[in-house]
Amino acid sequence: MQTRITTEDRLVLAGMSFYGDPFSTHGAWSGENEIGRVWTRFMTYLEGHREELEDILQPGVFYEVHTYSDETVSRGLFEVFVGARLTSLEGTPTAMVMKALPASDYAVFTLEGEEIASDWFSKVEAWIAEAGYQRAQDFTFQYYDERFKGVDQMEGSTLDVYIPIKPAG
Amino acid sequence: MDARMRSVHAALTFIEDHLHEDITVGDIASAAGYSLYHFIRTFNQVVQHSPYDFLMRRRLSEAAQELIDTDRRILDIAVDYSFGSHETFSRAFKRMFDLSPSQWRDGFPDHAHVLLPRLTEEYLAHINHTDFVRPVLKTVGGLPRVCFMHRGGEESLQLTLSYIHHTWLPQSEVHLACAVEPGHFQHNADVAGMAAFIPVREFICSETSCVG
Repeated sequence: MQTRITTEDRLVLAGMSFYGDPFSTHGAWSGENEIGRVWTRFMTYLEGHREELEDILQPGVFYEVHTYSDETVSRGLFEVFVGARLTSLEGTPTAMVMKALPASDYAVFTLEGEEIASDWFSKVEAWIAEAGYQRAQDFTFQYYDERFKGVDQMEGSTLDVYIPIKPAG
Repeated sequence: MDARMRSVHAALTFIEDHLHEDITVGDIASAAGYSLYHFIRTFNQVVQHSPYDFLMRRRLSEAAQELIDTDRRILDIAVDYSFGSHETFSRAFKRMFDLSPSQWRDGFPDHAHVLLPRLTEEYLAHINHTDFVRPVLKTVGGLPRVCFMHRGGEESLQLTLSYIHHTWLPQSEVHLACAVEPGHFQHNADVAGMAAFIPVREFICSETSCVG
């Protein structure tokens, strides 16, 4: 797992979201989880509206944002947002919601192959504490580009995890 | 037992030891030794319940048993299992059992099979075995039925039934025409094991018509 620190400007995304326990099997006839369903819903919409979206969304790069609340620790519920970077506010479809992530310093962790399905979050939290930082915001995001081949090709895939940080203390 | 099962088992032990205390899913994840995110994912995969749903169902099941076994006031039982009020307890109770606590106490002790028991290592190994088959909806003889399958000896059929009653039925939102019982399962070459084909509620079920 490679690690670096970076600073990012405010990031405005458009996409779709789910709130709850995304891995809960409640009500499901299949093992597919809600994160997968949000991705499917979003990508299907993109495919069906390719022409009208190509001028307002950055192509080929996707973000999965997890936003935490009081219910995250108490009940295991959080928001999963899947989207792309907005390049223009003109013509944003009502089927999508927008999310603005504030400018921040980030610890960036590059996960490869089997690491992606491992408990990387424990390692990330340990690294942040040992490096003298703490989490700065109630969200994290995963950055998907051409290096990520798909959930069925995890072995050859790479993705970056961004954790907003600030100095500890 | 592999590391994943050991962690889930540690989580289940923590839950059982703290049914009367105000614990969070974060506390349970810590007991399992996982980050919250990875824990929620792993617990769902292994137990087939979200951690919070499982905690609530275990509390309600123990409380329901006490309603039958004792004369304690409903409010006292509610508070004892960390429900803040009679109303909160009754709402959760009704959601799980479709009965109020007093209705349960007064006349439905025969519903005891729906209580979620403490899970055993044997049960978790059974529902996570590669041979374990989830129920599927099928049309049999022109009627929709749920096909419940069991691979393994008759001695482990009870584990499959436990999964059906405590996990699959509450999550599927399918209402069957009759309760699934051991007698409904018959050897079936098509599923390489035993199978029971149970009609959904809108079709009248007799003892024989529930057997595929």
